[in-house]
Amino acid sequence: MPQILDHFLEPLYGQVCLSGQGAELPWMEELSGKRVLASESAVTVAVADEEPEGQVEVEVYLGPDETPRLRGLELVFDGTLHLPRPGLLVFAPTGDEVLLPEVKDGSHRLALYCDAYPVSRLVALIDGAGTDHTAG
Amino acid sequence: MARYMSDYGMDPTSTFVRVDAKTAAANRAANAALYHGGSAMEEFPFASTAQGGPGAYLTQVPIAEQRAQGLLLANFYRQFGVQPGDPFAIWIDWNY
Repeated sequence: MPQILDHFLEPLYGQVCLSGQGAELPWMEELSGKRVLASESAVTVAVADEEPEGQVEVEVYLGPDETPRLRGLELVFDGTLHLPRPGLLVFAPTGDEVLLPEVKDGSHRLALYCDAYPVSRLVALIDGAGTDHTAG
Repeated sequence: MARYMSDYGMDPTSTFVRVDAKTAAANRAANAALYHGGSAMEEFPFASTAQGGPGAYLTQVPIAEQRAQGLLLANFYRQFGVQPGDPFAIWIDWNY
């Protein structure tokens, strides 16, 4: 499957989240000094310390067929995300939200890449090339 | 939050109305322009409410606290299905 999202997000609270519907965000975890907080069904990426003046471009790719150019990007997360229901949510806390119904329920391999910090581009590869396909 | 509600004579149980993401971002940006403290800016009423924006109480908090508050509020909206236009109440226990 190809790219399923190219969206400019206003990163309220300096964070971008990817999660299953109804998943609780790991708010009690300490994000200071960490770029990423992850629970079984939610991943939160810190994209800025100060009030962000710009938007973050979020690209999501599903499956191994298409891989974006990742040159200059840093791998900040490589793990598993479990979706209890079909659909992946991409959003900023209390702000803009996009539901990607193409992503099935079950466990998915998720790799997240960012450019410099503060982040202006975030790329998410779901079940990408070289990863296990464990959805369903 | 408690200080704002006390200073403005708000009832310990006060009602707020959630706004859409565009309005929340505009509220946040408006307050950021008014804010001259250090990182990170905390505001109340929340930018994601109709009561937020200019006139809100602004203060400096550690960045981790600000992030945690954003996630906690997002959890609240999602858990209770609070959509833009929906009212919700905040109850302060002054004796806590």
